[in-house]
Amino acid sequence: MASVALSEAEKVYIVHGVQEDLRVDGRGCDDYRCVEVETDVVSNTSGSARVKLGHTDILVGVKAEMGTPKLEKPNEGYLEFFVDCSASAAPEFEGRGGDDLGTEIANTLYRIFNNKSSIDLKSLCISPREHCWVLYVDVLLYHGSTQNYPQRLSGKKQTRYSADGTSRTDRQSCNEEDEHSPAFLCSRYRCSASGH
Amino acid sequence: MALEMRLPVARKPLSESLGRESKKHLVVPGDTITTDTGFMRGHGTYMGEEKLIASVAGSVERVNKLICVKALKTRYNGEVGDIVVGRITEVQQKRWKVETNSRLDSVLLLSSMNLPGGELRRRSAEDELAMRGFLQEGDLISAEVQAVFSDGAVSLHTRSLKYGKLGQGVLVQVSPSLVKRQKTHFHDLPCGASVILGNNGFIWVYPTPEHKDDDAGGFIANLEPVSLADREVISRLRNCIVSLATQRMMLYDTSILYCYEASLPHQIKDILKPEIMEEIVMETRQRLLEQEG
Repeated sequence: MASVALSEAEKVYIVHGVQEDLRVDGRGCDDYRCVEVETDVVSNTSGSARVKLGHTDILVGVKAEMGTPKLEKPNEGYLEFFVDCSASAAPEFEGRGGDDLGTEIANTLYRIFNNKSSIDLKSLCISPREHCWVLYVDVLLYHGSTQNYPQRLSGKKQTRYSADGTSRTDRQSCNEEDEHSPAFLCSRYRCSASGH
Repeated sequence: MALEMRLPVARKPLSESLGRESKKHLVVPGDTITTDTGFMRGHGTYMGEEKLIASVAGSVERVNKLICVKALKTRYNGEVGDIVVGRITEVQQKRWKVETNSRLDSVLLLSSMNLPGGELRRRSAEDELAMRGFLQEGDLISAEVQAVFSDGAVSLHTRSLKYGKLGQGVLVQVSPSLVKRQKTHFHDLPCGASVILGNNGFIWVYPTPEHKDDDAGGFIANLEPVSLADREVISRLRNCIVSLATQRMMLYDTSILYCYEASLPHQIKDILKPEIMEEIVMETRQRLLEQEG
C-alpha cells in the first residue's frame, strides 16, 4: 500500500478529529465520498463497468464462456479473477511492480465471492458435471490510491451484473446488498479511519 | 450507511456561463504564436522555421516585445522571495532536502535555519548531530526562497520568526499556477482559521494561534486537541480551496473568504459534491466580479 509521509502534528490532528467523528474533509467516520458509475463501457465484453471514487478509477469487464465445472463442485459454475495494476495508477506499479498488489486483490476477491450470499453459483450451471458458465472478470486499476479496492470492486460486480442481464439489480437493491455483503466486512479492516 | 452513486455527467464549459471581457490566447505545444520576427522569445517558446512556436500548453503573455507562454499545469519554478510550504524528505550532512512540488528537491541548509531561542552563532558539530531533533522526515515547514541554483533547484531559508516548522493543520495541494502572487501569503481569516498560501501550490490551513510565541521560533509543536468549532472551520476552508482549485479559480485571501461565505448554507461534506461545488464557485465568481467592477 502507498504510504503518505505526515508530520507528528498532522497525525495528532487527524486522530483527534476522528475521535470526534469529524474527518479532515468534513465527513463523518461513516460517510462515503461520491461514487460515479458508468456501465457498458467495453464493447467486446458481456458486461462492464467503470467506477470512480475519489482519486481511484477502476474498470471491470466480465466475459462469460462455457466450461466444465470443477470436480469438487459439479453443480456450480465459477469465477476467475485477474487484476491488473496499471503503471499510470502509481509510479511503483511500473513493469512488474503492480503484480504483487494485483495478486493480493485477486485473492481477496476469490475469498469474497466464495460465499453463497454474494453470488449464486448454482445459477451458472448448465448441465451438472458437464457444462457450466465460467465468468472471467478482468479488473484494471488505472488511477488512484491503493486503499479501498476490494470494497469498490465488489460494488462494481453488482453494477456489472445488471449490465450483463444475468441478474437484475436496480440501484435500490444495490445499496442493500452492499450493506450485507461480505465485501463490507472485508473492507472494514482495510479502510483507514481518516480515509483516503 | 448510505452510499451515493451517480452517473458521470458531461462537464459544462465555463466560458458560456460567465462572459469574459478579454479572450485569453490559449496554445498547445506546436501551435504557432506569431510569424512576426520582431519579438523576443521568452519561456515556453522556441523558434522554428521563421515562426515562434509554443512548447508548453498555456496562455500567451506579451510584455512589449517579449512573448512567453505561461503553462497551466506545471511544477513549481522557484523565484527568489517566494514563500513555500514544503515537506522534509531527507536529513543530510549539513542540510535538509525539502519536497516542494518542483522538478528537483529543494535544499534547506543548516546555516539558513534559525536556532531555537533566536541565537546567532556559527553552527557547530553538535548542531549537525542535533539536526534530526529540529526537523525530521515528514515534517512540514514554511520557508522563503533564498536562491535558485543553475539547475533549477531552490535553496530555502527560515531566517524569520514567521517561518519554521508547522504544527497542527491541514495541507491542500493545488497547481502552483493557481496561487496569486501577493504582498503577503500569511493570512488570518476572519472566519476563525489562518492560511498560508505557498507559491508552490501547497496551502496550509491551521487554527489561529491564540498568542504569538516569539521566543519559540516555531519549534515546539502544540499537540493539544483543537476544538470542534475550529475543526469545522478548517475542514470547510479545505473543501472550499479544493473546489476553487477544481474550477481553476485563482487562490487568494479574498476569493477563499468569499467561497467560504458562499458555502455556509451547505453542510461541510456536501461541498465535495460536483453540483454544489459549481454553485458555490459560481457565486464566488459573481461576487469577485461585482467587487472589481
